[in-house]
Amino acid sequence: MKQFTPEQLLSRLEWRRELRNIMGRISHDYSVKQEAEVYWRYWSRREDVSLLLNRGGYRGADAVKGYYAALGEEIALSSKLIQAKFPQTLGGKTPEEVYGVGMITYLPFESQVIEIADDEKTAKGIWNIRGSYCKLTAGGPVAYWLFGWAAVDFILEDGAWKVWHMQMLFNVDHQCGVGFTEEEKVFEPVPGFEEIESFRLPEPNVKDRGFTPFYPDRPKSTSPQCPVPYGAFAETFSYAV
Amino acid sequence: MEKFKEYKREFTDEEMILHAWDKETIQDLIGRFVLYWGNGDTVRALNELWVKEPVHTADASFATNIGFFVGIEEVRRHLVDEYEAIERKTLDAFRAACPEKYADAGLGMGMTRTHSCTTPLLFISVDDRYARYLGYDLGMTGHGSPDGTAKCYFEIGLLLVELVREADGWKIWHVVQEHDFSIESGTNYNDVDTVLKGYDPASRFYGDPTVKKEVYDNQFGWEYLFYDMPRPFKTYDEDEGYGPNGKVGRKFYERLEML
Repeated sequence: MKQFTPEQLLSRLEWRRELRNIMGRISHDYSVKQEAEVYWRYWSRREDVSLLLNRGGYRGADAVKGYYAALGEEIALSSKLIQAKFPQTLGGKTPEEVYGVGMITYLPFESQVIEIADDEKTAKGIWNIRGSYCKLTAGGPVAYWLFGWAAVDFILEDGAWKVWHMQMLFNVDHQCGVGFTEEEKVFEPVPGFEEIESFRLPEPNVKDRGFTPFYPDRPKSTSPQCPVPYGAFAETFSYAV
Repeated sequence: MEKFKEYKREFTDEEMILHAWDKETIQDLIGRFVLYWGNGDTVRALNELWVKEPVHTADASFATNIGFFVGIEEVRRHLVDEYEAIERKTLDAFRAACPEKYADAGLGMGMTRTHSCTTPLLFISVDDRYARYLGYDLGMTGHGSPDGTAKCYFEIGLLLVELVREADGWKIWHVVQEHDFSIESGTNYNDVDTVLKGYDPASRFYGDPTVKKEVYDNQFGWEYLFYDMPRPFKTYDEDEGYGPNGKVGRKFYERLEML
């Protein structure tokens, strides 16, 4: 393993803090329904970015950008429907003012392992996620539990760390109030919320990758690999799709 | 707080950087341990993250609520063999129910778990050779049955970890996993009579410790004490440490001298 001078270690300490701050900012952006900005704020503008979710992979800048933009469209539609449902409280507000009302997503990132390449051009990290979210369905707002991981390749661009490849995979993504492997409850449609059922996120352009949450006879499944010390990106594994 | 002042350290700039780096290294090491553990990569965890030097492997320990596994081979027996036995039993149950369907299934089928380390307390000894860590282990477990159902739980507990600096870096030496409670997913925890009936589904993971003694009584929960939290310390002290011969796990009324 390469030995570093105290000055070099100090830089690496600062970078590690910066990498954690990026993940912290992404987490808090989800919390305040700023998902639509995540690509623009934290991702590299490279063409070879990728995002892997349980549902599949989004490979390339357009696909990743489109996914986050669609999250914003879902929030906007949900906000519009909730606004219409509560005219007394929300009726006079602009779309910008009601954006994100009645929704929340907690994606706390913890139990980190971070490795910065010896050549200081890239970094890798993995975090546990133990969170929850509430989204609008035709049956009204419904809450879900999350257990999973975020695994990220970062790349240093013009002195700033950017997300290059991300995997956000969930071992549990299941409705609150029912067992993790039990059938989710179907709530009676609430008049005015039916339109949300027609909303669809863009289909992944990599369909043969993903992750299946736990089910009673699921084969052994694990988190993405933990980063290990490495010299240059070509010498280690990638979280790319 | 008065008595902690004597442990306050003075650092040169370089020493301070190295001290901060040590803390980062330890935080990552614990993160790596809980991820490996959750993945069932416990052989790798023991090989990469735990003590190697005989002076430490001899009394390396892992404690569950009911006792200490003492010596690195006993730790291995618990983390690797005992969990594998649970996996084997689960697989056998599936195969017994549907031999053809599960003929090619492997160990780990129908099981899942995650561990975590959050809200850490971390102190390195004044002599720079030891470290103590405390964090919450907030995870989940899932256990499938051949009838197509599964029992899944939110698992809530604590990890106390004592580390030692060996020739090739920081290593895990003593771990105390104090499991506090389990909440079955989809159920109301208030419907479970934890205190009066001692409901503790996680006891299936406690194993058969080398030294059987109460380490954490999660029915009443009184061993987790202020005195066990890491705090500034000079050097390793077996009595104060997280190994099998320390005070960790004793009830507060047996430790009044610390008040």
